[in-house]
Amino acid sequence: MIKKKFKDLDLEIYEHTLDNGFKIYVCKMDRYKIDARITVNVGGELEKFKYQNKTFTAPYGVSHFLEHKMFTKADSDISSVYEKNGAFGNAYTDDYSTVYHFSSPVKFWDNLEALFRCVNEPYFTDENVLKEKGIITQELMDLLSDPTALAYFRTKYNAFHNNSYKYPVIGTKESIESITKEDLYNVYNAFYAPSNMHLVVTGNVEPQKVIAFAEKYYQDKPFNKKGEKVTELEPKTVCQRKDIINKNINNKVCFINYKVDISNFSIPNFELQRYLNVLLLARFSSLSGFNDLVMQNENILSPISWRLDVKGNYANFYFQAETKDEEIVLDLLNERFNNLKMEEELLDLIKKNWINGYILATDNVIEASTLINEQIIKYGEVVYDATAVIKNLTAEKANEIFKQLDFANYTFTVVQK
Amino acid sequence: MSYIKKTREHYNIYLQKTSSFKTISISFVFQRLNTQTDKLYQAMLRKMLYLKTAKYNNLEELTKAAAYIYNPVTFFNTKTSSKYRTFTLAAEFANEKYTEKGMNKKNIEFIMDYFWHPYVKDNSFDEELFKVCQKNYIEELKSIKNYPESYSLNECWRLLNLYDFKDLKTEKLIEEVEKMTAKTLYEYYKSMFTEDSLDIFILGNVNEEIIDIIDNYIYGDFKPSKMIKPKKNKEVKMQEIKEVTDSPQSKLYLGYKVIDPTTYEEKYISLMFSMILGGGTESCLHQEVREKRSLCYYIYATSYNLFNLILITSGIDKSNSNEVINIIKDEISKIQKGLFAESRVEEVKKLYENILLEAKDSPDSLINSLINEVMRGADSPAEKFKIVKKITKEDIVTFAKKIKLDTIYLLEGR
Repeated sequence: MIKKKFKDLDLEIYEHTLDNGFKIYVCKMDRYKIDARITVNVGGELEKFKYQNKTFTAPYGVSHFLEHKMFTKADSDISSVYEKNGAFGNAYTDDYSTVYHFSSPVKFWDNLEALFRCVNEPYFTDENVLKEKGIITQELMDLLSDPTALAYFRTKYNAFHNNSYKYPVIGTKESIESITKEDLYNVYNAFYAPSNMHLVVTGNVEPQKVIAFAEKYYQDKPFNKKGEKVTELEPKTVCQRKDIINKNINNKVCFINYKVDISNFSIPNFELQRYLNVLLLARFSSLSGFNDLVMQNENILSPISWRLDVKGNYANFYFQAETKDEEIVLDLLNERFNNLKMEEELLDLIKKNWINGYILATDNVIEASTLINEQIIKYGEVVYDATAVIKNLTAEKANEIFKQLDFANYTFTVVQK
Repeated sequence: MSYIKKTREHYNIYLQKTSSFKTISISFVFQRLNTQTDKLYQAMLRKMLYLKTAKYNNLEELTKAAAYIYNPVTFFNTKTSSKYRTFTLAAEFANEKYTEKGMNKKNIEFIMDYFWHPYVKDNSFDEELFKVCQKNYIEELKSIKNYPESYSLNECWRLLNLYDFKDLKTEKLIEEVEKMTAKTLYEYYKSMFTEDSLDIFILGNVNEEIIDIIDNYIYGDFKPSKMIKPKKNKEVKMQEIKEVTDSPQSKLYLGYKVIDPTTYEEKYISLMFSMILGGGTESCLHQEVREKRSLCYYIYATSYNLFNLILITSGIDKSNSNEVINIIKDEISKIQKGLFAESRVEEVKKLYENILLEAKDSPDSLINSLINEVMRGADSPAEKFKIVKKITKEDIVTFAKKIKLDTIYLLEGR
């Protein structure tokens, strides 16, 4: 067990890796609530994979389907166990990972056992798989009722050529319908290997006891070697520039993705992503006057929101808005991507805000747990020197990076009457 | 956790000292009688006050000023009962012990600027900015129809007729917003200083000097606040309303009103009942509708105790609406007949106790708990612990017999 400290923050983490490759991170915090989460490094982005010298094709949405079914056991349902123990337990799947979690101020060890059973003891039958299809189809219908989700799914689809990243994490109506228990076992066997998972615990708990618990749980249990995703080379271009979806709505909803190649950068991923976020904050946040500009434009009917998602060699800059005319939104965004220049004073404000955010996150069990887990998922490790990296960002380096970014590849979707 | 109360001529300040957090939380709670147009004026105020103050000319200047003092989080929120409406300016910022000396005072001054020093010219808010906000608000109201979940909840809420006045349809709300001017909005703002009450709540590792800083800023001839009490429902309408949408999913609501509950039932049993009926994965509705029949992804029962309302919500396929409605009615009938395990009562009591324990970890939960104690007559967390332990299955059954179906609302998908 190694004790590590977040630089400049009042936060210590105990790290340990079991012999089977399962990684454990325990963050001690003096609170009533204890949060625990096991992350499996497989998510919506999965199509072809190799396992034990065989190649498999996974239906879209299989990781999310698996997430639902992992709660079902021959003798019980893990959700019921949590609820009977007074805990809040759930799971979610994103493009890259599946996270199973619970939080509670009591019965931590009983709940931790339920969490380990949840991810390590599959029980799929034809009947329980069939039953889940109706539930997941309604989850999909709920998402498709929302024009913003509809626009996002289509934008993602049109941005990527080869990769299963283009499909919604939940899958499609057809792919959900096609999933079998064999599909679930194939993905489970290939990716739910201890060496492809990690545990994060945050709260008032003894790290040594958590490690002992995990060692005991895995003792005498055979463990799989993890499978490998098969990925194809993704072209730099988008598949389709513009797409329109017709739906009976009042205001047009517009979604845009700038797919930007970042494969030429050799700086650490965490630092590079900070600079990409600096760009967004410096050009598209209230700090830059962007929201004042948007508000004054009578053709733009809502604030323009944005987020960054880095997928392999590509940084995806997503924007969404309600508008009378999508071309006006595009012109405004394209204009803001031109003449990118970072000033030291604005960068200092952004740095101050980020560091403050880290300080406050260490006050709250769920926020701290999320921060730690997201760093492990995104960067493969906890970034203990995050605040130091942020403090050392410079306007000069930002400008060097901005110069090399090409925002010519974009795709946009409009949902309209 | 005990608190200090300071009574001023026109307002009260409540300070809860705790060293558990790195932040300081402050809530300024204005209260007035609720009318048809208050929500519109307050929504417009929220927009205007965020964008320009006497000191800061636009959002960019305001955001930068906040960033210089470590980014205090500020937001306005509103809460309603059938009779009263509260408008709250809430803020949270890092205690200067974790940033720089002098920052507590600077943060408080910055927060107070929002409400006490807006930009005013010729006895009016900024005309140009008002027009922008008015346009944005009208578009927001129009776009509610884009989002079936928000639209259906709004419609159901309106049909349940929960206020002491008739709630307006979106088209009428838009007409009312169109009638507003920068001058009438400023008049409304000024009326808050003479017609509203004001109570101020502070939580954090601070001493009473913080109260002096706030006192220096506040002016106004505020009225004493009134205790907010739940609505007394006398009868139900038993209406079934269906609307059609082109979305792929139908949204179903069943609104049950509680007739003649006791205060104990309003405070505790309503919530316990809703948790047993539809409050988690072990609840009757989740088990019967989702797990046994795969008819939905979500189904919830929620207790709105200030309205004595139990609202059941689900997203379903339109072909299954009658089946789901019948299951909901059956499950309620079973609880009314006592046909549920006693162990479920113990489980939801444990869940509730855990929520109370976890609230001690959150400044937001603690300050809201204090507001509820002072303004809504809620029991203290310690009292809640004691009372919950005594809840029995009979309490749930007795309460269940007092709920009557008022409204079934279906936004039918394609």
